[in-house]
Amino acid sequence: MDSGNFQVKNQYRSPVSRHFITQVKQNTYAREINTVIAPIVNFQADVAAINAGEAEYFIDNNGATNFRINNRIYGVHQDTYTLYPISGIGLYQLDRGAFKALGVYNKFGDTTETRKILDKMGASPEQRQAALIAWQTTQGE
Amino acid sequence: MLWQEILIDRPLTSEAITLALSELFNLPANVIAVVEDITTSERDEHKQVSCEKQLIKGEFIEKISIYLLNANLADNMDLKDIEKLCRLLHCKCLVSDNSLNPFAMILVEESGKNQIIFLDVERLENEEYIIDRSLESKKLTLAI
Repeated sequence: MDSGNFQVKNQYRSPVSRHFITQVKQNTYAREINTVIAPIVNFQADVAAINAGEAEYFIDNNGATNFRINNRIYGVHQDTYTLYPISGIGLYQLDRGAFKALGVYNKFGDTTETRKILDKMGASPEQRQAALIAWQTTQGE
Repeated sequence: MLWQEILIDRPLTSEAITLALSELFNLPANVIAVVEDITTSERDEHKQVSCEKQLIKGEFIEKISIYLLNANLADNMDLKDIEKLCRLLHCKCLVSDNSLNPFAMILVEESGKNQIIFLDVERLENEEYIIDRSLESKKLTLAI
């Protein structure tokens, strides 16, 4: 695995809105795996550090460039230098059903209504729990 | 379970979707529901597949979300089944690949010629689904 520090040649951009827990809606497109960012994460500081050349970079098993900063890993869409979260502290990987469930929690909260909707979606207990854990990071803001 | 979300390049009737899903899953049409909004639809214990059909913006104009209420239906389903659905619906579609890059999608055509494409980042932020054709030369043709 190629890794190390790097010389900043490009201005990397913040992740797009679909990655922020509070911005996931029931109709947000659900990928097979979706990483979302909890409100406690100071992602602006991560982006600034990456742009300052302070992040460690490494090439993953698929040949893609990743950055490691503040115990979080980000990938980059090379053609627009847009970062996307992968894993680490304050980041949650949700499968398709859990991501969809998160959109429902965001709209209806932890309510009977949500549970009825998730029943109609056939969401598994594991998907509901994963979505609930992510959603709870947005409560008490 | 949510099996797939599929972006379609042409408008589809509920009837056409029902017939295609009936053929795909080898189920009678009366156990398939096509709804506009699953959050407000009535629950029906007899349904095995629930498909939410929503209009979206961009060159892909409909999104179908296919929920399998009988989880066994998902066994052995893969990209070949998406190709079959495209053939049944006479459409092109986009589905996500298994990467974490939110802009990478698989363009599936009736012919079975599938390609990795990237969505336009700015347009996607406005919930428009447009292929970034400036990246055309970087497309990878998959032999699936």
